[in-house]
Amino acid sequence: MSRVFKLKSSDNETFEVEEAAALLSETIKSSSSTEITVPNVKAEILGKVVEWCNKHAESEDTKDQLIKEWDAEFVSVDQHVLFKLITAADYLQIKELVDQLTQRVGDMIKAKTLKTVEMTYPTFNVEREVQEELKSLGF
Amino acid sequence: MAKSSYQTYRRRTRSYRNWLELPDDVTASILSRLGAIEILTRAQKVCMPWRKICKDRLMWRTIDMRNDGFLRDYDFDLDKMCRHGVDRSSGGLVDINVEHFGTDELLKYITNSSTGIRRLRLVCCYGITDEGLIEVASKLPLLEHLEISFSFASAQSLEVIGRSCPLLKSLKLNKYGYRCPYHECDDDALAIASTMHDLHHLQLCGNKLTKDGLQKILDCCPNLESLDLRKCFNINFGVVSKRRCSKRIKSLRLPDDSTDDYEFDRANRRELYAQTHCDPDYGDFLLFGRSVFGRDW
Repeated sequence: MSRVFKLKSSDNETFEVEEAAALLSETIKSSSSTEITVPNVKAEILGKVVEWCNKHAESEDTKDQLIKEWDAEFVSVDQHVLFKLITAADYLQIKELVDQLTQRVGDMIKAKTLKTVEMTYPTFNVEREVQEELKSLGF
Repeated sequence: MAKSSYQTYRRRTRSYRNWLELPDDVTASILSRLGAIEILTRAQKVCMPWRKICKDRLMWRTIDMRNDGFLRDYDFDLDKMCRHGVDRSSGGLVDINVEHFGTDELLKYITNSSTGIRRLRLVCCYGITDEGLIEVASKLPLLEHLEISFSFASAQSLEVIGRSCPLLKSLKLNKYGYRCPYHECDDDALAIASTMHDLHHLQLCGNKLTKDGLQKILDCCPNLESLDLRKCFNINFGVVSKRRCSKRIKSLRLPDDSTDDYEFDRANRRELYAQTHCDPDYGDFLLFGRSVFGRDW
């Protein structure tokens, strides 16, 4: 008989998750209770994480082309949602989801589409320090 | 500044601040996906927290020096950069990818300080010779994944590597494939069969091996799960042997199979592909020239 876990968001919404999907989270795996509150994660984001877990629990072969396409769609969100998803996935320790999300952020940095104040207004001192180091190293 | 644009600035910077609040290990995971060149030349200049993460030795357990091969476009020395990355790893290096540069001396430098390398990838490294590979083979006892594609590795170095790396599970040895019936050679296949018995994954695209060499590999590598023989045009598969092969091997790619998902396919990667099939080494020579003299060669 598979257990059902209850995940509660910071704005008090509860999501019921089947065992196979829930155990994709190391945090849930090592929890003694089946009722877990996820702090600082609102329902909108927690819902998406649950959706990802459900999708990955039902697919046996994660190398399948269809699920790859689904995953690519899943991470194609704006950077604010991306940030919140990473925070949630990191708290819940869902390694593969964190990997997919961090890969997406890495791609955005490479493509120069990630906007952070540091990247828009870089700190002069850091740049200078690094240039000096690179010069002293000969490249 | 006018009041309204200042407020816009404040609102914008407030929403931007978040990214530095991520835990260090998550940020490290993000930045490590940029590849070593971008980390050293861009990411580590962005702000002090990112610089600190980029200097941490854990970031340098993997060094991915991927680049598109147009070395003249770079203002910096990839060899020096690679050595710097190795230094930052402080002996903790486990996975390194070298593309379109690299010498025997660099290989020695890498393996002298890093005794735990598990994955080594050398693509288009024309400065690395057989002797260089043979010399460092004994320093790679934990090697599990090896790729030597479009580089001058002969059967002799394969044998030495096979004997020195008992944990080797995956080998990729890709060359340019030519339809050249008079140039058959089972040397690579025999070297693999005689020394690499625990292989699970083998990619031998563009190799000149024949059915005999393939049979030897199948006989001596009982754990083989995936076998990629695309562009190995000297192998004549009969219907029966194709069936027998695919029964044993979970993932089998045959000589004439599609190269859509082959990393070094013309369309997938900007590589020169020699059209001639008179001189089998022409393609290698052409690429060598390009890597040394630049794209206009």
